[in-house]
Formats: sequence, structure tokens, C-alpha cells
Amino acid sequence: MISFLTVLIYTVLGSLTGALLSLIPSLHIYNVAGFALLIWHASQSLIPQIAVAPFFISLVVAFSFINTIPMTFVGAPDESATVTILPGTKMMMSGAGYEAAVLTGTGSLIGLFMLIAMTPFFFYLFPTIHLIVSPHMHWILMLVMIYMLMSEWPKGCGMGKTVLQRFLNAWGNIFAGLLTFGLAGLLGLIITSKSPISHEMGFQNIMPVFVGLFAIPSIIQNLLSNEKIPDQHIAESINIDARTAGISAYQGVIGGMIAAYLPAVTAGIGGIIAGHATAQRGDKLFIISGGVSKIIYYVGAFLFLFIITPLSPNGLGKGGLNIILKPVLTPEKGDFFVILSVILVSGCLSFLMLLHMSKWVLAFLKVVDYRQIYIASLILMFVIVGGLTGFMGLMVMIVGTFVGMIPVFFHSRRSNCMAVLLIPICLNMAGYGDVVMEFLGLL
Amino acid sequence: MTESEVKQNEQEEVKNDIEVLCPSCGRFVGAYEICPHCQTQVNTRVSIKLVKRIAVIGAIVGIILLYFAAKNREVPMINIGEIQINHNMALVKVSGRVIRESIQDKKDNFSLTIDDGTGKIKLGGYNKLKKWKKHFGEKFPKEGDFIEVTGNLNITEQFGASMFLSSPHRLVVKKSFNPKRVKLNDLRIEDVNSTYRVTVKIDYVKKFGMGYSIRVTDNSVSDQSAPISLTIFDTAFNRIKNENVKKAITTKGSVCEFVAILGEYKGTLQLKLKSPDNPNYFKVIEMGAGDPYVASTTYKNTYSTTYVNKSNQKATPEQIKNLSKDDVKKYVEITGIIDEVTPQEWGTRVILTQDGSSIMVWIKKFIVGKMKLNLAKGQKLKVLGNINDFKGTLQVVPISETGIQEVTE
Repeated sequence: MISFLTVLIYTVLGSLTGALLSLIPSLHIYNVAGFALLIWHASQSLIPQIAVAPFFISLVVAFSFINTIPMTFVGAPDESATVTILPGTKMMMSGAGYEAAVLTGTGSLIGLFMLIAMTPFFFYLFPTIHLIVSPHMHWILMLVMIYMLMSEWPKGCGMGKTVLQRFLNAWGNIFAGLLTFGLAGLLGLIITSKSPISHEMGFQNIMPVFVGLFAIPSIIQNLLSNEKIPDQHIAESINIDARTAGISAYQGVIGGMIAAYLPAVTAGIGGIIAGHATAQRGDKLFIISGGVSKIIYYVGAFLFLFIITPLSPNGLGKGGLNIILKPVLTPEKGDFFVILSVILVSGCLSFLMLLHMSKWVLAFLKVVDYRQIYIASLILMFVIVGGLTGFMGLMVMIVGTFVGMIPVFFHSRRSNCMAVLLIPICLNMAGYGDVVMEFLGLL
Repeated sequence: MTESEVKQNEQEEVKNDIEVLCPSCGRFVGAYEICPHCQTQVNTRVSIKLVKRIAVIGAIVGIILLYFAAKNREVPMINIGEIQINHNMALVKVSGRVIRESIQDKKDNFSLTIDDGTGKIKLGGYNKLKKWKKHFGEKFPKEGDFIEVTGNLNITEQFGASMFLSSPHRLVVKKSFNPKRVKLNDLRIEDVNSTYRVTVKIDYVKKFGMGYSIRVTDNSVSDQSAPISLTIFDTAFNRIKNENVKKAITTKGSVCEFVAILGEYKGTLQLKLKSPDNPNYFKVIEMGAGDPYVASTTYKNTYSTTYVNKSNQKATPEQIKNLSKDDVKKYVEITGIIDEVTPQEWGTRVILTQDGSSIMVWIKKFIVGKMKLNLAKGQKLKVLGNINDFKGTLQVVPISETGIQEVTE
């Protein structure tokens, strides 16, 4: 009974903390999770061992739902939404931002129930699939990278006075995408082979570069764009039918599973692949499936850690939270259903909070200039990164920011920035990581 | 707010609007330099152009600087005992002595456990064994070596701290292990788990289900030591690369030099080959006559369970009359006159007398087969063996043919 209450209390606490922190534009919950882990380590009595997983997973569940609010209302996408932001912003600009947020939340709720419905698959088929697929992971990742690069299309109309101008106008974003991919990959090789960040904060090695690549360019973009939030209609109902919900779930599950399983592949990339694979179009479908895929990507990836079977004795977990919690958490057989219950409770609570918080935030944005929020958020980023990783962390973040600004301002896909992990992981899996490191003199 | 201030605000708002609205279609363009709706150049967006240039130049220059910063970074050396959870994934350097090594040829994996005096850490090379062996060759790090290694820490609640080994260039063998050369006689129970270089003569070889049970003696004839067992499992045996060594070690009479770890089983000292795949650890001094795997097929292996090997001790000279049940399991040396010799199916029974007292000497069949001595009544004999209690009667059981010597006056 005490265990049950402890888990419940920390689930609610994690959900509330996660919801509040997720309102801060561009702040990723993994940055906070790093801090929380340090606090927990310093004072281990703060969170009982039994509550570690429920608390942290609730943080992530709440983030998956509530993060929709800054993403939709003030246009701050995280790395999972680098391609899904557009339809939400469109609805926002036409006064239907609240509905867009609720649609995304509904998608996340559908994704939550899909995680429950897929439990037999996780235990009876997934480990076998993993056993077959894992030796081939390097070339699968290679294909994903090729697909990412080749599926980007020229966005310009080829206008200009000279041939070169017309060419650059039409193809500029493609070259910007390739440049981003190359630079991010190089940055990733440096960071993963010989990180300049102090070993004392080794567990946050990747954080500054992610803040730089995704969070700060969004902030700069929003500070420069001078966007005015139009009056929003608080809808009493959402325009969604069972067919749209079903197709969204189908597309979202494919995208989410790809992202939750393949290393360094985010929900954004998974969404592109799933969108092309299912050949479904439509803004609403895009938004809802984005919600589905987001929850499976963030939450599912951690839940897979608890799939303990003879074929997967150490679970199948992936993702930032898994890495952060590894030193303090060992999954055990039977934990899966506890975590699934925690996810369900936290998810439903977060959905309800999303409905109310969306209204509060819209009201708040009427009286406060969102650019001030972004400036505060920018300062917070510097404090978090500087506080955790010091001067070198800040330098890495700034370099990451420059790289992350290229796709933002040249209008190519921001998912190209994920080459920061894709390239090193792919090279290491293929067994060429050392060769490249040696070539670069980073041994 | 005065009327002029309101007007000024409105003008400012209009100016801002002009900057973010397309001059052609009037729609919002945000941070775009070209209207995404009608492709019109938004000429007033000078700051965006500047930001774009800063982004590209900053990214390239930043990465170059970061590259040099990383390249010239000295990886910190840490004590294993000081590793904490915030060091997870950190690139660090540790140094220490290899206390355990594990090789999995089939999986292409290996692991080394090192101890630096403050703690121990396991270094894992997954799918890298072939690559590392190719790089290090015979100098592949082995137990006892003092190494310095750079790698990423992996800390889990279940297994604690470990380190991923990536490139062989990141490991340096600072001091190779050079095992001490000893004679079997010098081995002591206190030295269990120590590694030595020994020169031995293969005395007996028997193949069992999972490997070889080998008995070795000191090569020097002057030494009065009892044999010591050397068990080589097939997995270890197959790691010996040199076929000549394989043949020698399984051929009776061969004289070999090898590096072994001293172990003990139920109080009995035994040897275990150290790093069988290291060719520097083996030397065939003399190849024994006959074929390898020489072992009696009819002999039931009982010696290993019935005798207590005291190879680390000199046999204690005893008078037959003084022997009692308290001496059971002692390794003794007795001298007497043969009173009776009775060959039996599994060995030969000899009654030895000394000053009116007598004792039975039980010589096992495999020893009898190797003895060059013909036992006869009246012969004076010196026997080195273990005292056993056989159905309430004391007996001396020699454990090799060297334990039975004729005494000539």
C-alpha cells in the first residue's frame, strides 16, 4: 500500500513538475532531468528508489503533452517536431491555435493507448525483430540518412536576374541542408570522440550541442520574426472523426516506433518516413499523428527499457532519459506494467492539464509580449548549460547554435541537425568510428 | 499616453508590420527573406541576410576552433575509486594492473579488469577482439600487465562502472608482465592465484570430456617433488596456436616451459595455463617420445580423488612404527625392506618392514607400468607417498614412479 501511494504521489508530482517546466519555450525536459538526477544523487532521501522511474517518466509524459503549448502558441519546436511545426503554426495564425494544441494532445492520448494496446507485440514480437534487425543497424541508419537528404526538395521558384541567382534561389535550401548535415556530423564526431566538456559532467556531454542546435535557433528565429499572435478561438469541440483519428494513429505509430527504436532518429524524421510510407496528407492528420508519434518517441523509448525477455535481458530502451537514469535505475522483470500504469495516469492528467493550461497561456500571452518570455528562456538556457557544463559547454552550445541557425534561416529541414548523432552512431556501428577518429587526429 | 505617443506607437507598429509582411501579397513572412507564399523578395529584411551569413561563417569557424580545442585537449586521468554517476559517458584515462582477462573469440569480444589500488573497473571491447589482436599482436594486454587506457565510462546501477574500449591506439601497455621463474617445489599454498613460469616434464596425460588432465613434474631429476596436476579445458587448449606446443603438452615425457596460474582444489595445488593464446608463454624444450594423448584406457582415474598432492612440500621422513591414523593425508618418506609383493588387478601391494613394524604400500597400476624397478622380497626401498586409511589399515600410496626408489647401501 505504501509502495502504491509512493508511486502515485511521485507520478502526480512528476506530472505537475513536468507540465510547469514544459511551458518554458525551448527548454527540453532532459536538461531538467539532468539537474534532477544531480539533486537526487546529492540527497538520495529526496526521492525514494521506488519512485525514481515513476517520477522521471512522469516528467517526460507531461513534457510530451504540455510541450505542445509553446510549440503551437509561440513556435518553439524541440528536436522531435522540426518538421511538424508548420500546420500547427498555420492553425495558430488563423486563430485556431487552441484547437491545434488539443488535436496534438488528442494524438498523444491516442499514442498512449496505442502503447497499451501494443503490449503483446512488445513482448512477443519486438525482441525477435530486434534480434534480427540489430546486426544490420548501421546500414539501416545509413539508409535513413540518405533518405533524409534525398527526400528534401527545392523550395524556391528559381527567380533571379542571373543563372546563378536563379539556381541558388531554387536550390539554396538543398545546399543549406547538405551543409547543415555535414557540419552537424562533424560536430557530432568531435563531441562523441573527444568532448571538450569536463569529465565531471560527462553525463551531460550531448546536452549543450542539442540546446545549441535546436533550442537557441528557435528562440532567435522567434525573436526576429516579430510575429503577432492573433486572437484565438477557444473551441468547445474539436473537428475530428474516427477515420482521421484511425489514420493518424496508424501513421503516428509507424513514425513513433521508427523513432523510438532506431538510434538517433527523432519523431520528426520518423514522421517524414511514416508520412511518405502511408501516403496520407492533411494538416489535421499531420498534427494528430505528430502527437501520436511524439509520445511513442519520448515515452515508448523509455518504456522499452522494461521489456525484459529471454531475448532482451537488458530491455530495449533508447533515448536520453534511459542514458541519464542508467546509473541509478535497473529495470526488473514485472516493472513494465507498473511503468505502463504510471504512464497512463500521468498521460491522462497531462491531457487535462493541457486543456486548461492552453487557455491560461493564451490569456497570459495577451498581457505579456512573448519575446520577453523568449529572452527569459534564452537566459535560462545559458544558465543551465553554463551551470552544468561550464565555459566549454557554452562554447559547444554557441557552435551548435550557428549550425542550427542554418536550416532555420535557409529553410531546409532542421532534422538535418540530427546528423550530430546519426553519423557517429552509424560509423561506430559499422566499425569505422575509430578509423575516422584516427584520421581526424581525435584519439 | 499622449496623442503624439499613441501616434508614434502606431507608426512603430506599422513599421514592424512592414518588416514582417510581404510587400506584394501582404501576408506574414516572419523570418523569411523571400515570401513563402508568392516568392517576392522582401528587400527590407537586411538583418535576416546578416543572420544567415553569421550562421554559416560562425558554424564553420566554430567547428574549426572546436576541432582544435578537442584535438589538443588532454584527457584527464582519474582514480577508479573516485568515479561517480555524473562521470557516466565521460572520456577519461585510467591506469592500473590487469587482474583479469576474458576472451570470447566467437563473439569477437574481450574484456580486461584493471585495478589501480583505489578500485577495479572492467574494460570491454565489443566486436573488437580481431582488430585489437591485429594491432597488438603478441603484445595484446594480458593479466599482470600495467596499462593506461582512455575510454568512455559507462555507469549502470546493476554493474557499476565499466569502460568501452574503442580504438587500440587508446591503450598503452606501460609495463609488460614478466612472470617469476620457479620450480614446482617452491610453490606454496599461500601463493595461490600467483602467476609463474615453470619448466616441467609431462608425466601423465589423460583426456576427459571437456579437456585434458595432465600431471607434470619438475624437470630436474634431483628434485624430490611430487607431481602437480595441470587441467587444460578444450576451450583453453584450442587457444594454443602452436601445434608443436599442443603436441608436446599432451605427450608424456615432453619437457615444456609455460606460464601458469597457481590454483588449489580441495587443498591440492594445481596449475592452470595463463593466456594460452600468447605464444610467448610456451616453449617446447624437448618433445616426448610417442604419440600425444598417451593415457591408459583401462585405468580408472582415481588418483586425483584419492591422493593429496603435497608437491609444494618435501616428504617428511618417518619411522614406520611411529605412523598412526593421525598421519593420514601426510606426505611422508619411509624406508624399509620388502617383505611381500602381491600384484593385483589395479596395482601392486607391497608390505614394507622396518625395525619389526610393517606397513602396506599400494602402488597403483599406472605407476607400476612406468616403474623401471623390479620389486622383489628383501629389497630395501624408499617410498614417498601419502598416508591413507584403507579399511582401518594404514597404507602408503606413492603418487608417481619417482616416489619409489631402491636404496643401495
